[in-house]
Amino acid sequence: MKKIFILIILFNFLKSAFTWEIRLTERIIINQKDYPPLFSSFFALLEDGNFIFTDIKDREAQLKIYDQEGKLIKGWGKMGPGPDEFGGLFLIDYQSPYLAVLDAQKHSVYILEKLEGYNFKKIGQILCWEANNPLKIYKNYVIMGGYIVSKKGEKYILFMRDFKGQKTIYLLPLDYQYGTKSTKDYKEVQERVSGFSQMAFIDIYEDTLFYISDVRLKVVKFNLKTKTIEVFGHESKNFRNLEMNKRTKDDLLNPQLSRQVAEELLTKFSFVAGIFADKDILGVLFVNREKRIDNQIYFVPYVQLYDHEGNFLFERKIDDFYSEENYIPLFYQKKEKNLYLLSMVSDKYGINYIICKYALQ
Amino acid sequence: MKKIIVTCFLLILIFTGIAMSIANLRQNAYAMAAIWGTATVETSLFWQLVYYLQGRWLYDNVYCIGNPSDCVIEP
Repeated sequence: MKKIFILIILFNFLKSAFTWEIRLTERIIINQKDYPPLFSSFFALLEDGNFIFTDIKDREAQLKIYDQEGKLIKGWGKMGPGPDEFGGLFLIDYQSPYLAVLDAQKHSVYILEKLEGYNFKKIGQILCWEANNPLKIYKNYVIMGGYIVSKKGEKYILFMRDFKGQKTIYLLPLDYQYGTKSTKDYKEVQERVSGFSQMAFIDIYEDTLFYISDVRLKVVKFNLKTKTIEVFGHESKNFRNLEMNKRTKDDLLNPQLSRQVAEELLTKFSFVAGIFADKDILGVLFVNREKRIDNQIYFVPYVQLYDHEGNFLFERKIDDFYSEENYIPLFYQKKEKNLYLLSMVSDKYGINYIICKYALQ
Repeated sequence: MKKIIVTCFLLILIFTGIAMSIANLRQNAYAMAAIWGTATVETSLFWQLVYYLQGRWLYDNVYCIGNPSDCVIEP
């Protein structure tokens, strides 16, 4: 009896010692009172712990830096047609000292170099009609997501261009868009999900790129040097694949029914909301619309962890976070294993942005 | 003297013409291309604004985005 008791204690100890934990360590509320309110969905973390946001709406300041208390400390970058003006910045990535931002109206990625203080100097502009999302800096290239056809006529969904915008390297073929491996599988999924807004997410660790679409829990692992591709993913009872038949699709495009059908789809199905990687793990966030507050229903994230070989390690609901969007803007500090998630919740005054910092242990 | 001036003038014209034609060759890279995509419903206000600025709005909350299939917006 004693031996069994000791074995149970030992088992529990070993289990807790080798289980990952995600703990909320800080909440930073972005101050929306002193300035034209922020309208953004993307941010990055600077070396000193402050945050840089793009603001697609602000005509005077398309880029804004907030400190760790959520107070605005700098805003710059006018909106306009001029060469040093922006046309609506949205995606952002910062890999010291380079900042890449995607401009919606000018269909361009700007590369800025961080100088002393919070001064940035434009060092490149890449014209890219195809770029949509995601966006990541990799060495002296910018990796972009978007449908693109190579000179040979091959279709891709990820490509990268050098900082000068002269060299294009095609990365992930279209057939892998949903973690599918063949044209037939791709078309099958495409048939069930097209017509409803879709996103994709990437993260890079050294020369390994991880890609995932928001409609399937399938991670594509792509080696940027050898160009080898692997696909993995762990099915979860908490993840409900988006499936639409022809009638739903027709209703979705009907202006009279569209909003109601879209709301039903957002509530009925799950969506991948982000991805992050470091030397040990790959994390996938997905959301379910399940938290009800007053008359509103919000998305709550779940996190899945894998090792780099694709072995499933862990899944947990992050129940102290919720947002009104079905994607979660995030920044991951790879060395420190700190995950910053941006929550967006509207009230009658506007959108409230809260950055939640989680420690992975 | 007149001959030299006329020759210089003609040479300037020729080289300017060549330079202009080279510059023109690059222009096609910046020309607005037709937008092909799939008619897609977008519910997020943020992404609606992104697609609007990209010139992808079709009607109501429907935008021409993603892989080319059933919509095109001519410049």
